[in-house]
Amino acid sequence: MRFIRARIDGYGRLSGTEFTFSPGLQIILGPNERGKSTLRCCITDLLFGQRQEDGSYDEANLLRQPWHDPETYGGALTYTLDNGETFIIERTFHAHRERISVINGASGLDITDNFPRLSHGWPGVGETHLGISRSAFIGAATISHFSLDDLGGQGALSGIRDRLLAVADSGGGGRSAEKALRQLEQWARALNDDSETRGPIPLLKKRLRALKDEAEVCSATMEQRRGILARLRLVRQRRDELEGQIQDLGRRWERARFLDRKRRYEEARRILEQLDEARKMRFELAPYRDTPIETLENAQRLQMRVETIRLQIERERQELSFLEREWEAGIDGANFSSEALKPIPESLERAQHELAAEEQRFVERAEQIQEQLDQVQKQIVQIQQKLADLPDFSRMAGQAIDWLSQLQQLAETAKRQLDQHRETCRQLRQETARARDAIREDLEIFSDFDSFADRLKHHEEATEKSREEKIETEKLVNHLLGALEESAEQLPGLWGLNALCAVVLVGLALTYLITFRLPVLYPLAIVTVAQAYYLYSIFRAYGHRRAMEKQLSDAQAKLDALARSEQDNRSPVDDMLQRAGCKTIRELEARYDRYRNACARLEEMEQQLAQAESDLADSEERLPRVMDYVARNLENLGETVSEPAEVAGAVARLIDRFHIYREQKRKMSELRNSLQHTLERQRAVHSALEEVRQKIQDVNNRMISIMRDSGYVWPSDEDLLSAVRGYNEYLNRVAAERSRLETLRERASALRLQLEEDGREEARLRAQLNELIAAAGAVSMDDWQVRVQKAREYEAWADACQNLEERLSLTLGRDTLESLEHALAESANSVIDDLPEQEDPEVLSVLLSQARDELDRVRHEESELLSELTNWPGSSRGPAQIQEEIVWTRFQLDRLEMEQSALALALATLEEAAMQRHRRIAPGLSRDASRFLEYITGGAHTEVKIGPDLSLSLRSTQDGSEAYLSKGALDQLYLALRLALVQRLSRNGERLPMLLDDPFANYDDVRLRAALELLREIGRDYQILLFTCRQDTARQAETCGIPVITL
Amino acid sequence: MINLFHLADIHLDAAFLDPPLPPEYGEMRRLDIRETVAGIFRKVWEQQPAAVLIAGDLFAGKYVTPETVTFFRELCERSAPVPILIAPGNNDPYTEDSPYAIVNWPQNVTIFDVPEWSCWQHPDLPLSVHGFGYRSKDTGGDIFCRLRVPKDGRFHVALGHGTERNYRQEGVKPRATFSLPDILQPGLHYLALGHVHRTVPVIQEAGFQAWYPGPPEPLDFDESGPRGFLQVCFDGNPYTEYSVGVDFEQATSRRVCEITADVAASSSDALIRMLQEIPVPEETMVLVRLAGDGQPETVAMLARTILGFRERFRWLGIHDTTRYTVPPESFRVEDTVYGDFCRILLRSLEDARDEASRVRCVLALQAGIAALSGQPWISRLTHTGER
Repeated sequence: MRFIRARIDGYGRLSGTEFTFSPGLQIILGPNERGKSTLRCCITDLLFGQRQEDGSYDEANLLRQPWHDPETYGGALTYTLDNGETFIIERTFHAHRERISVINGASGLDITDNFPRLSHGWPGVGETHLGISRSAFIGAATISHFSLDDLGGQGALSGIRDRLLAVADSGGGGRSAEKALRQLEQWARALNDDSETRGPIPLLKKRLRALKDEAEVCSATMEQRRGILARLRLVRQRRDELEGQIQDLGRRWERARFLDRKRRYEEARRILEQLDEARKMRFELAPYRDTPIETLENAQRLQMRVETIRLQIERERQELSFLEREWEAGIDGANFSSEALKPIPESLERAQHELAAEEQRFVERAEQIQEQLDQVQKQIVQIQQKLADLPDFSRMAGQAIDWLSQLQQLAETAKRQLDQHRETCRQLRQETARARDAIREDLEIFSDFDSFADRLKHHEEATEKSREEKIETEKLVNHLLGALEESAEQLPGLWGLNALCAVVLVGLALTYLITFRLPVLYPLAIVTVAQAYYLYSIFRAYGHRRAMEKQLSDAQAKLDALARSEQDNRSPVDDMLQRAGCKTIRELEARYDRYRNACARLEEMEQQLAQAESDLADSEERLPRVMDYVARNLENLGETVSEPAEVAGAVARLIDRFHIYREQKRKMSELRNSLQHTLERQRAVHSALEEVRQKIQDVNNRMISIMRDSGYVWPSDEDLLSAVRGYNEYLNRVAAERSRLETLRERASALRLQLEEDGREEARLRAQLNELIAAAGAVSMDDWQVRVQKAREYEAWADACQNLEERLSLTLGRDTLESLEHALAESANSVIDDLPEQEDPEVLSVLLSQARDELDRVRHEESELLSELTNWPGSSRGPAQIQEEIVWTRFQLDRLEMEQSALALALATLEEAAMQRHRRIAPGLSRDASRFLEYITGGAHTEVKIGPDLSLSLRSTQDGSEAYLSKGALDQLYLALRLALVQRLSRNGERLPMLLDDPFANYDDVRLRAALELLREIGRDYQILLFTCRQDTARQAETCGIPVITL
Repeated sequence: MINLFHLADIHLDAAFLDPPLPPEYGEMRRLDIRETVAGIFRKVWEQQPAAVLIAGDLFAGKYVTPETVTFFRELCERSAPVPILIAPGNNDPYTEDSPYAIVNWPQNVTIFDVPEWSCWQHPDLPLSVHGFGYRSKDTGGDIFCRLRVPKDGRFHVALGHGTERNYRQEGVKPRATFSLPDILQPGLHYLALGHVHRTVPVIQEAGFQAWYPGPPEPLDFDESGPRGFLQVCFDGNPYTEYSVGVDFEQATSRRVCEITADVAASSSDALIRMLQEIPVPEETMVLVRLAGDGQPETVAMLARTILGFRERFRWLGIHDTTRYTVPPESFRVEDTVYGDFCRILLRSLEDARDEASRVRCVLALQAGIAALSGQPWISRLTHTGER
């Protein structure tokens, strides 16, 4: 963007003024309080308006109202964008009646509504065209000197860095990202301070935990209490049940006791009757009381044993006679012949089996080897047939593939080179033709001049000179016009005074003529002198007017002449501008530069084309020679080719055949080795087989010898194996018979001994039995048994009497028969009849006692539960209140955690954005700032190091150490950095015009000049308005050819 | 003449959870409910009606404390011999650990403890009350169809907790839903219902009426209007000529009021006017819901205006549900970290899939812009006085 004109209707001390700005750098000079800052603010306000981003109106704007006429507060700003479009913004400033209109400079149409409305409701013209906000423009594009409290050192660099960051991060209208991050962290810490004594989030979490614990405790308490109440209700129910139960048991126990007494009385009467009967019977059996009962059993056992032994003796005798008969019969039949019956050793039999198996294995092995031999020989014949069908590659040994590949590569390389050279030639021809077409138009334009640059320079100089002269002449004209006006205003006055003097003079003359008084002559003389003076003034004024008019006409003539000469100078260049379609000289210059570059490129391309055509000719000659060589070699191997494209296929086929040839050769070699090996194995197997057969024969001979010596005769048609088997069976039969006879003899001996012993035992037992019978007083065993029976009956009756007496005692208990009879008579009337009959009063008594015990226990439990309820520590808060506070706390915590999460997101995003941007702009910024600083300081400081975090360091060129910077050097460094940064901000969008506010306060003359030259250089691409009150700056600027606007 | 008191939906010890409010509000309201119930029972002692019918939700389920149960039990005991008939509802079903099962109720209290109709008969008057009780959160709606009343020369009243189809409430789950024709029958003179929190007649005819009395103390902020209980009067002979009259008796002077203000559309003046126009402010609990799209500064300003009226009302609270919009400063397109920051977050905002992500992005934008601009960051809770 570039400002063209600013018309100020009224703004502070400026009113009814207009400023025209030129491209590039220009100085706006004015003493203090002449309106420099006012002009700067006015430009900003015209471009962006006076509203803040939040829509508020800064009351300070009221201070900038026009001094003379507040209603004229406003103006118009004309500017052009980088793409050449021109716009005019016209604004009227007022807190409530602000107006704006935006006119398209080319079409003259009002395009105010085309701009988006910002939050303050007004069109964002500056924001749309420059891509930055008002505050960012003020912060970034406005550069002043950097005032420092301390001189030099790291504190200053840090301060500069902070400023730099503020501009880079938020356009200068806000803070740096670092400060913003610290602020965000502070807000985040305020929310979530870990110390738990501060920070709402930890406090709320702690409170929430406490509430949840309280809720659990409350719930548990309520549950316990409900449990206690439920338990109490059950306990009371049980108590009521038990009381009813006890009452019922009492009644039942009374009845049961009555019935029990009655039963016992009747029972006692029956027992007494039975007791009398039993005593009577006992008395009758008393004589048999002393009969020994226990020894009868022993006698009976003895009798049983005697009988048993007798039967056993009889059986043994029968068995003995049987055994003697068997032995005699066996002795007659057995044949115990010779000791020569020898068995065949097991080792011989085992050896025979093993050798037979080994022989079989060797036979099978020999058959297998023979089969393998036949197969290998058959394969050898097949391979020999295949090799006969393939080309003979034996001459090439293992290098056939390499050699064939080389042939192929040779042919392909030749063809490829030829194709490449052809393509290169074609492309170069096309590009050359295009380049010629491209510069045809420029050639027509610029060919007329031998030296375009000289011509342009001459034109510029002439134009500049002409303009300066014109400005001077216009100034003169204005001055003359002003003077003429002034003079015109003065003349009537003079004439008036002159007339007055004349009247006075006449009057005085007449007075003198009438009075002839001498004193009248004095005023007369004075008036005469005055009139003469006024007349002189009048004449002089007229003379001066004539001179000025002449000067004016000369000046106007000069202006006309200048216009004509300007027109003459401009004509050729204008013509060129028109033909080139450029609007400005700069554009024409740029186009000429492009034309020159295009001519150089065209020449280069033509040289390349010639070289490419030469290479193509060489390739076309080489290809046939190569093909001839390749075809001959391939034909020797059975392949015919005529074109380069066929070579690859032929080579591939030959290589395949070579692989097959090599494979067959390998197989042949393997088969021959295998054949040799198999023959050797066959020989070994045959040899082993012979040995085994010899061994078998030896073993068989030994077996035959043993059988013959034993006298065994086997059938003649039986083989040796069957004969051996028969011989073994014969031996087994003989051995079994011998064994049986020996057993019979031993058994008969044992039986004889047993018979003797049993006879002795029988006699002893009989004697013992007779002694016992005599001791029992019986004559025989039968008699003894009868006596014992009677004694037992006596004992039974005695036992019965005892039992009956015991039962009687039990039945009566502590009562007597008489007492029972008496109690029954007393309680017969009070017993309840509707209760069950068969109940045991003791049982009921126990039940009643248990029920009373349980009732006591239940009452005790009831009182404990009541006591527990009474002494229950009441909860200070109910579950509803706790739950409400949980919900409320959770609600607050959710919101705070959302804020915390948002802060974390903001932190991460801002940190990443800052890191990326700083890292991205640091190298370019360092480079540009270093260049600017070197230029300004004349090489005293050449390198400004800017780290990825935009940290600054400056090295001294003298010794490379950290530079100590004076105030002036810091200012220069700051200027270099700000200039570099503004260029960075402009890089992706519209170029920012810069407004510099006296940045050279601490510059010496040399560096001031260098800075101005640098700014002029930058001014080629950016418009720079440099506001200053210093004459030396203006003078330096003039010497550098920089325009100066004086306020 | 037979007089009955018909109450329902008292919700003793209710918890006030939606919207989230400072806990002191709930405690205040629970005491209010007790006070109202005590006032009703004073009238019972004074007027000695034939019976007091409580159609469900007497207690607030799991939140009821033993002290409250004891309080109500004592009220019932002191009301003797006036019969108190209770039909447990969905919020206070008759379960093993419910107050109905645990507490040893006085003789004059009858609890309908099964989800089937059972009949209680007044010992001295020709009055029969048929009731059923919930044993769980819900009970079958067809229970209302199963009532059969005899024509025996007595006044028959049905007492139950359920939703008549034409009286569903938005946001409230219907229970034991039925249609009036399901239960209409000769011999039935009054249907004492509970569950709908409004004082509204279901049907009003000369010989039969059915009513919801609504809670005697307002529970939610949409329960505006006077609150109380119903006095039912039977006069005449059920066989020949009789009448059924129902009168509303206000039980409390307290009111609730809810105002919803759209921060984008409402001005401070309009809000102030609405607050000033609320009648009987010293007895009114007011909730102002801030809604719509807006910026924190606007919400803060409105909240300050509202909180200035705190002393005027019995209770005044704010529930902020505004939806923050993207700050206009986000759309600066300059080539700076500020611009990058805004662009990244605006892209994230476009990709946000749910409201929480959107709010997070917007808050992050606000915080970042405030930090970069050196401005304070207004948090949501601070400006509504909630922190």
